[in-house]
Amino acid sequence: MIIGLDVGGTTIDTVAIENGKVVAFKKFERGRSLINSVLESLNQFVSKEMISNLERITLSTTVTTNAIVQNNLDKVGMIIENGIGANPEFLMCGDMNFFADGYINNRGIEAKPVNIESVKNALQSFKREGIEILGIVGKFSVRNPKHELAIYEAAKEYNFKFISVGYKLSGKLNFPRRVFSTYLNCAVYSTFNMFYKSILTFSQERKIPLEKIFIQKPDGGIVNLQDIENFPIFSILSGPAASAQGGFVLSNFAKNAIVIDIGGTTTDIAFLSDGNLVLEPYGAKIGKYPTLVRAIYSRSVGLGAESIVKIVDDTIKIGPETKRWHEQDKNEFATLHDVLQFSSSHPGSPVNARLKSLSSQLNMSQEDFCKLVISRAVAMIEEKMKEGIEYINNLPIYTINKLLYGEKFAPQKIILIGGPAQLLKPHLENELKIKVEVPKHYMVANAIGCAIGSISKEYNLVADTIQGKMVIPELNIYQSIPADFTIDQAKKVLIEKVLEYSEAKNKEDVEIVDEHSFNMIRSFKFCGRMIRIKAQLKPKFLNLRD
Amino acid sequence: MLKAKNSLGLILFPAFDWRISPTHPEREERLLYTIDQIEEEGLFDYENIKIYNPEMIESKYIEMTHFCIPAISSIVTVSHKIAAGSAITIAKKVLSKEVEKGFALIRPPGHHAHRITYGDKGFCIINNEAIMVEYLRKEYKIKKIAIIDTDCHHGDGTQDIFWNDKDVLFISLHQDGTTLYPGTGFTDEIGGPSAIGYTLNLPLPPYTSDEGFLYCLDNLIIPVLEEFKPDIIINSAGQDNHYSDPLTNMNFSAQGYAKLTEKLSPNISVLEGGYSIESALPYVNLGIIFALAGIDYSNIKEPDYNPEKLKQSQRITDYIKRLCEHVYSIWKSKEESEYKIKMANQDYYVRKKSIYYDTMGFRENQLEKIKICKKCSGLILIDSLCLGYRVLAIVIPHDACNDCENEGHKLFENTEVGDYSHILLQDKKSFELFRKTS
Repeated sequence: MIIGLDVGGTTIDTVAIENGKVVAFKKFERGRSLINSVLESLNQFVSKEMISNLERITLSTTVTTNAIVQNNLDKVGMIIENGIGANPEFLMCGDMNFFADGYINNRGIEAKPVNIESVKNALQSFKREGIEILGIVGKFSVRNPKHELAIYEAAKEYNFKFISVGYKLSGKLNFPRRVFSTYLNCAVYSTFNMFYKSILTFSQERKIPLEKIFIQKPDGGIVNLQDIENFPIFSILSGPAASAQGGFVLSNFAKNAIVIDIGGTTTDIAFLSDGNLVLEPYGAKIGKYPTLVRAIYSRSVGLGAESIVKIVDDTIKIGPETKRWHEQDKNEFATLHDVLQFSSSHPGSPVNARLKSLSSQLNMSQEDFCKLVISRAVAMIEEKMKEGIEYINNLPIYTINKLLYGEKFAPQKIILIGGPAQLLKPHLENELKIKVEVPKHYMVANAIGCAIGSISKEYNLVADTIQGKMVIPELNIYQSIPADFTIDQAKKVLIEKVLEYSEAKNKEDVEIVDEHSFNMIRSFKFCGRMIRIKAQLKPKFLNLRD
Repeated sequence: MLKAKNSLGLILFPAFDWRISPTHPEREERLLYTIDQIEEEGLFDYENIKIYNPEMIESKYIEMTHFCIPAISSIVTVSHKIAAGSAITIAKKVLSKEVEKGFALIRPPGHHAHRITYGDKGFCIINNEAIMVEYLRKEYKIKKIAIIDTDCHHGDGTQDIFWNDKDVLFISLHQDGTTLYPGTGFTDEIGGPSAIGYTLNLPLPPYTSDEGFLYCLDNLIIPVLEEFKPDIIINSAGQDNHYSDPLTNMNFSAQGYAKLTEKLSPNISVLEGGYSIESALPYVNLGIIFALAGIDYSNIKEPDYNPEKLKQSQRITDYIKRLCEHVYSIWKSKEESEYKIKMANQDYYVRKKSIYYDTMGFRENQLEKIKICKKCSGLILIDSLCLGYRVLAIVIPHDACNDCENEGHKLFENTEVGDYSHILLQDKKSFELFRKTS
């Protein structure tokens, strides 16, 4: 038995899956306290029988995302070694920030040692100001974390409650994103910890071992609750990932498609290219911060079944406000859901009366008015779809082969999920002239996507034979290699290390997605190789296409 | 999201799967560290810095710039077509105002490729900027163009192509040709009879530093540009003047390149040479990008940067001052010089050229004749001998008068193939190439 729980803007959706079949599902109203709502939904949904043959529970939660959006954050001190490049002022995201002197260059070679004495002074002043949480980030630290680690060692004496080092969050290059990711990882510490503890209590009360409780990550992967304690940031933005994944596994196989999840508040759009969900090239944007948190690329429109349709200055406006925030004057407006249901509503119903009042303001028949609203809504979705397609087709290409023979992304169909999917389907099909598929269980597809989440990870190996060093930042591997190290050896090592260190069970689960070997020439002589390899775990989904 | 002062379009095409030979300086590794630096800097995250993928160039634009012998298909590789295509892509983005400025970081370079090209010369086969200029004139009807070549090597190919073209002002600053390949670019190379003074060369002594380059900019290039009033400024942005470059002997720094770029404020920059791929390119390219985008670049310095060590001697400073004065006087007296040359050469202006293809080790001999015409810049006839080929190349310039146009076509019609392997007519006015081969 696998249980999935997805926290949406309006509801909390739960689902139980057994032997590849959905055996139970339920939607719960989302209450004021998010953590309490999650716990209540879990308590109500999870029965004794479910626990007796439980494989895992996966939670997709918005607690950390909410904390960021609502600025409910911890005070953080940041030690930033910015080195050479842009003026670093824009990186001052912490409540106190200190720019350390020192520089690791693009090959991971120490160009200037870090000044630990001045760092110690900064740490003291952080403590004096009551800062208990510390972030440490250096430029090019993923190529060589020496300076971050030296600062970490120095910081240990000061008894911070929580310390996060940048290089552990991602193997990708992008210093500003590393700074912001580290900051956010620190800033949501208390919120996540509260959530963590309440789930802990739940697991103890219901006698569910903690190893069976997982959190959905924004890249569609899942991670055990215990493993995420030091990386709360990986619990953000799991909603769009869950829906993208849900749409993907429920649909009939497609190589290139668009997954659209229309919910109560928003519509999330994800992209399936060459059989894989497209990921953000660097990572998710959280609040105002671009980060290195691996995430499914998705576009979002403030448009859902509960979006308010009103007339402003003689023009139709749809969303982003929803009915929930207008409970008191329900008769003044219609929702998108009302409009979508128009053809089946009774002439004398209150819905009809509201539509009549709106359409008469524009001197239109109700029918024409509804048609216009729907085509506006479809256009809003289409705009974001187009943006996404264009974005994917413009991602940088670095080789002639890919430029000449790489395929352009062109979707074959739309996979439409979410509450109003059936109502929207004919309109999308008519207006966009594309096949639209609404899979079975479209109502709780995101909870299913959350339940079946597979482990998804990326690994970057950089080997430099002049230095005799190899790094795989994602596995925290920094080790020596011989001068005659080759790309074939590197590929073998990477696959072996992934098997040794992580969740892959056999070689076939690890896929090399990018490989380069550059001859390094100094003074016209060959003197070594720079090897770059990227691998990923192939996502493995439960077969759920009944 | 971060936002730069100016919107900037970038093409980053390192061609990770292309090289001349395994140990050639123009190789796959060349832009690797630059891309690392740019990625680590988070440049992709600036809201108004846009990255574009290049397109392949159409042969038509190559034909309107070069005579490729024996044929485009036999000497121009895919990567050269992509590099030239990149220049065009970036030009489109700037001209359509999608971005204010553009920088194509591409390889291989192109500024040593002459009008007639038999193959690889100084790592160049076709001239990326020159092809872009022909494109801009044809598709965007741009008239006055300035190309400022800041590569350490003289931009001899670009000079050759626009030698007699008054609408293209070409200024090259480079390490003195007596000390560096290709051995040209002296102050007396000032353009053909109809474009005297529209080619200006600033041969700089070895060990010129930031001070010298910026002096040339302030005291020659900017004043000349103000007088020429170009519709567009293109920078052939070679980066081998850097103090760490293994092929040259100059003392320019990343800060210097950034300041030069900021002052010059080109609409489009196209990467040329630069072979200090690890110690210079990441910092210089970042400096140029920041300067183009109007981002503060004061914190971009090479890890080993030491301005004291790079200071130029007083002798160099004095020499550059005299050099700028001399070149400025060439610019100032250009009408007078043109009149004198046209008086002295009543019919055709003739020059003999010998061009060395260093990469491949052969030599081309040319006899170039430019018609002295009162109504246009004049028909160009080139007789070229190389690798057993004999080529008659006829160029009808884009501003050709009817007489020159008719004469060009007549000559093409009436000349027997006979001894020639190729007779080619490049009609820039009608944008067409005519060919006869043996």
